[in-house]
Amino acid sequence: MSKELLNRYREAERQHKEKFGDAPVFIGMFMPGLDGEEYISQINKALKSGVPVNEYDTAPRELLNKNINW
Amino acid sequence: MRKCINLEDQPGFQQIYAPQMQQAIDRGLQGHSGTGVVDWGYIPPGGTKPVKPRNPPKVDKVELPDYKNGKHYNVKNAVKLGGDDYFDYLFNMHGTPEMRALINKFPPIPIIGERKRGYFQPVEGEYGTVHTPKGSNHDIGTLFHEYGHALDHMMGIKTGLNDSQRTSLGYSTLVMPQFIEDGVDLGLVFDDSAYWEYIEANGIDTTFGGRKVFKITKGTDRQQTEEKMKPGDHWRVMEYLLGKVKTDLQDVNNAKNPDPVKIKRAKEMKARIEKLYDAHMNRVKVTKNLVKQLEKDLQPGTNAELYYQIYSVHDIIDGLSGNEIFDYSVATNDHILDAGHFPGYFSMRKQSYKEGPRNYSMKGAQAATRVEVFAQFYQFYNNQNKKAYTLLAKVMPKSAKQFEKIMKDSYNIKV
Repeated sequence: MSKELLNRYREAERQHKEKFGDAPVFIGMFMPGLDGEEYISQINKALKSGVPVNEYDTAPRELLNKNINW
Repeated sequence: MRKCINLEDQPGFQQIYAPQMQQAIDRGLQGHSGTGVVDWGYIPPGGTKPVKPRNPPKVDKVELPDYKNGKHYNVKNAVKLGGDDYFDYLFNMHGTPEMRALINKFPPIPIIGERKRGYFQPVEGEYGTVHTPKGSNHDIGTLFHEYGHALDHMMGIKTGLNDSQRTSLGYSTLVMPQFIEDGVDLGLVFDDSAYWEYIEANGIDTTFGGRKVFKITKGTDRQQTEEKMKPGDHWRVMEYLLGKVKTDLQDVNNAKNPDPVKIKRAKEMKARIEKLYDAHMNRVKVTKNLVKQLEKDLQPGTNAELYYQIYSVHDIIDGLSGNEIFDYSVATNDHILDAGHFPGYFSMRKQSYKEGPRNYSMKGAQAATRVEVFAQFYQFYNNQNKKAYTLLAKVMPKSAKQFEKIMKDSYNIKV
């Protein structure tokens, strides 16, 4: 299960890189093998809208690093 | 007759920002077939058809257990934090009695259920607040990890370590030396001073494969250099330095009147940079083996919690390597770790292509490594299923010994 999800995430990431030149950016512990569905859905949205994924732009204030959390 | 020109030498070329075009060039040069043969125009399998999300994904179905019947409170040292019973249930059913005794010793730390990811916020409430997912396929591991952060902070306050070390989550400072020692023994941590010394003494003025200008002026220190590095740049510079030290030596040898001191210095630097490059490549090899071995030993099948444990070890490796394996993957497309934090979390480099650094000092970067590795140890150690911890203890024996000692000592902390 996890490997299959991981591979689908890698393909979505590749498409993001192809379209925007850079990989998508996520905050926190990054586990595409487990949370990949959420990441893929964000990438697909980005591919449609033309706005790359960068969670620093969209995350709630408390998740930003200036408000240090671990 | 066709006339060929060198585009890179044309005025204004370096200022052109065209990532898609550049990527196409880079891909063509690398060869899509993976053989290293330049094969322009090759269409990668799958094309650009959007990846379809699957709902639900192919994982064990996530159904919350019947935690409301209260039976889980009949265990030894039952935890009852006074918040959502679900989190009490996870501690009572999946944690060890020793873990629960320690949780009960200290004032309860609020736990807030989240839809997505977990985090610990030390400045929220008196001793901080845990945010952790409820209903994900890795609720246990994430709760234990985040509560590990919370206790690191709480015990840091109660022992005075937060104050004396001028940090938050300070209890983990007691095991940081062992984390580094094990990291050195494994080949994940090594001396990289040659890299920064070279840059400070000589600066850098190059383009990575003709893509973009990367310029660091002479006299720039490590922090200032890292601040300019985007994901992947650290490894690109490493490869650049490997070639540069060779040409430096050739240049001093070919001078009209070769200076023996300059030749000696260039030789020494070449040897140090080559040694460093080999250490990096060895780390990649070691990590690939560790990752492979871990999966073989744990046999996760379709168990998401077991995958979470595996990914937590990936995060430990990511932390000890200061994000450099991830950075290497960004630069080379050689995916080694399947989990961790993004470049910049465990280093002083940029966190993304446009975001600045998270850490502006080595102390800050090392604090991130310290607290994350501690929290991973905590979640392994306190899980009733000790398989993952036993494996980790074999890989990092010094850390495991010290961690177990400070966990035992923590029962004597005055509250």
